[in-house]
Amino acid sequence: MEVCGSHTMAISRFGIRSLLPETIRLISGPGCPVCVTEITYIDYAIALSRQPATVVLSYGDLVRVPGSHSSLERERAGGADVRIVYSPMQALETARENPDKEVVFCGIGFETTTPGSAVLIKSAAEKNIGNLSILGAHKTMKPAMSALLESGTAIDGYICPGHVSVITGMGMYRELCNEYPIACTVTGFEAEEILVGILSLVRSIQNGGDPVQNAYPRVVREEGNPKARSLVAEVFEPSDAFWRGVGSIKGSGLAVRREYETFDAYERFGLEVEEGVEPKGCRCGEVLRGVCTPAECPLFGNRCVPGDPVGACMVSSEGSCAAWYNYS
Amino acid sequence: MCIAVPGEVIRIHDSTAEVRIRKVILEADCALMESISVGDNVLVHAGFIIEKITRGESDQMMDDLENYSNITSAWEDNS
Repeated sequence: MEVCGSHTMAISRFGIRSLLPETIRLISGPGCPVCVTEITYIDYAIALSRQPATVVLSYGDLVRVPGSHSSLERERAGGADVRIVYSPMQALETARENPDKEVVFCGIGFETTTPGSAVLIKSAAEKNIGNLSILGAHKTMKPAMSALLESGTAIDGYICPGHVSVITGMGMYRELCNEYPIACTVTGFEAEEILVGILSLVRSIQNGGDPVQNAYPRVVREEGNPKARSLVAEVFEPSDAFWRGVGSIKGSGLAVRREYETFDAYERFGLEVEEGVEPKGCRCGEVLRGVCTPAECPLFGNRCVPGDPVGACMVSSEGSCAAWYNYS
Repeated sequence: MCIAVPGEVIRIHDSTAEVRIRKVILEADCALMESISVGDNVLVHAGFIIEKITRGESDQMMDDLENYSNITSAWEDNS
């Protein structure tokens, strides 16, 4: 199972499945951060965009994800100030340029992306920026990988996310392999790198040697990026988090620490938002757990297409359904 | 969303660096790195430099690819 949206897309784009023998089956897991972001979070971001004098900043894919009744994209079309950013630090600039407005950054993503949000919050605190906050939904991979194994999903090995591992290092996988009978190989994103990673994983499973392999050594170090992890630990603390399609996973989220709560949009705004309503018939949850393929969803390819998506897995450019639709 | 791109640092201004990624020059924050110098090859994600990479490590990856190629040939011979 790959647990990285970029791997999901690359595997489909390069036709990797067609190159493998029948004995190797690749399944996609919950590796797309947009796809696993709970619908109530989207509803909260939409509610924020409707607040007076409020700017909501988001990474591109998230604005198209349908909430219960709308999306950030629709709110923007209706006049809300919703802006797409490339870096969290653009939120700092926006807050400085708009001192009469509240600026909220939608911080989602895994270990690769979270350090940027931590730097944003630290910088805002150091520079006394009083009109900036983050609506956080950052998540960590290891608890989710453990939860999938606990749930009984039949996986022999994980194709581990290359750029998450740049930050985490290999220790996370050693812990996982000590706790479960599973093999983990980190790999890159080019076709050749993915194939090398699969080969490494299969050898590791068959030969019973070291279950943890790094097939992306040109960028992934054993120790990862300790400075990035330290910054994250300074600003965030582990919390339980809800993964769309998977449910609540203990300790898999990151909440803003109390010392920085003035930059926490949940604390700052305190809005009441009803629990989100998942689209009827959508099987994104089962797709994210590897229980079914996108093509087995009744909405796939008819009511749910990239131009008019119903589920998050079709919205994101790295979602399993989008990959399946575009390349299968 | 976790994709990162390689580039070369061509200028440094306080806590940010100008990184050339093919023909594009992007500004990237250096806060996640202990040290960055002009000429470093780096990996950039969401406006941040997240790692340095070297030529030697790239060569190592090429060895892996050659090994893969040998295995592929073996599969083809057996099919």
